Amino acid sequence: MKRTHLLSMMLFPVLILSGCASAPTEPSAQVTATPAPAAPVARPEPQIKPQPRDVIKEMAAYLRTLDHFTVRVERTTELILPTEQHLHADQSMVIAIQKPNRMRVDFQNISGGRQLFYDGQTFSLYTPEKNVYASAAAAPTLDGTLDLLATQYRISLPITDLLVANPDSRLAQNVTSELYVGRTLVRGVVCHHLAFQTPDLDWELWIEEGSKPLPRRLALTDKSVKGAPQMMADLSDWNLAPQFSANFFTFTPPQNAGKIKFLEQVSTAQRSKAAQ
Amino acid sequence: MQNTRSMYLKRAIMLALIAGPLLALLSVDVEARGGGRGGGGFGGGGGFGGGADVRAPRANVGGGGGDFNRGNVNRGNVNVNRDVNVNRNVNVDVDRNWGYAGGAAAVAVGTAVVVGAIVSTLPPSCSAFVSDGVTYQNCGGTYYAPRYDGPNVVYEVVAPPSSGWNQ
Repeated sequence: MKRTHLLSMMLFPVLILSGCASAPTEPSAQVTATPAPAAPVARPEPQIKPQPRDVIKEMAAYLRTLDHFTVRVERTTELILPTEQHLHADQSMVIAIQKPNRMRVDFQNISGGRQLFYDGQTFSLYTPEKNVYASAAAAPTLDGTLDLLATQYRISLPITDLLVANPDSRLAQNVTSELYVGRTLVRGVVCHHLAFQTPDLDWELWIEEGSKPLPRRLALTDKSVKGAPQMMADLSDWNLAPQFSANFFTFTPPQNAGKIKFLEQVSTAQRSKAAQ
Repeated sequence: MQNTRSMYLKRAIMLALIAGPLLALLSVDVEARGGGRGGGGFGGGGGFGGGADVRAPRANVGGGGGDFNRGNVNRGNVNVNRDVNVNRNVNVDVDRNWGYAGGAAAVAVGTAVVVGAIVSTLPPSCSAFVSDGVTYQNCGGTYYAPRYDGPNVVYEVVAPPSSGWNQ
């Protein structure tokens, strides 16, 4: 008695399963007659969720097609003081690129700003307020020079990852999880919102939807630093057909400007000599 | 005998019938969890610090340079190629008027000035002094040479310039 009861219980799901399995072989009329629950109908987004990596690859491929461009970057960097107070520092700049090896960055601030020039052979930094500048040998490529600036001279631009020749491979490093968050407006532009994790970072990228997949915002949380400070950079005013004058990327020091050195250029030998 | 054997057979079939769907359900569950992973936080990890007083995030996903193996895609590997605070000087490019002198060079003014010391602002009442095309600042007998520390202009205390002095 008990056993037959049990048997019928077990057979029940089997029958259902077999029923399901045979359903697709039936004429499809019955299947379409019962549509899916009507809950998400209001959402006008029927497409398949894009893969974050694919969106990044599209952006990278598009950036590679750009021969020259300018973009405004407005960055907010969170600083944590020794008192554990959190501050946010603003910085804005216009970056101009002429591939393969020209770059100019105009940093803007109320002290008069500063300019960075890279002409393919040397780079120069000029601070009008103090009327000083410094120059040093650069790498022959934009990628190399960006690395040189960051590692040797501690001048790091906030969107280096997006300016290099292969942003996708740079961005894909150490990624442990990736997420397509959805679509959203960034300064009025419809963007894909992507989120990634690495052991050290949580970072997000907003890429314009459509035929011009340009990066519009980059945000990161640095988990390797105590307090996990954040950085966010908005990219706006993309100009994909700028007119550069002939010497736009060449620094010509003003007549009375003083040439100074980077701390890195002052050799230790020179310092110890000065100390005597 | 025959009877008990067929009974075992029946039980075995029953077990399979129960266990089959159950296992299928379990595997679905495992997959769902696997796919949903990533919210689980890879604990910040030790090695905090870095030496500088002001803590700032890195400027770039890729680490901003050579500290990270470029182009080396280590997808899915946790704890691979992990450079925490490698040579990361806090050198935030801040506006001078912003009020908080950024950077490791923000040494308190007024402490003992030794040659090689670096300050972000000069003491009051200095006079410019040009020697070999370099403009020094003479502040009460202590000479400062302007330098770039990252993108910021700072002043390094130097020995009194010998050549051209008093000419």
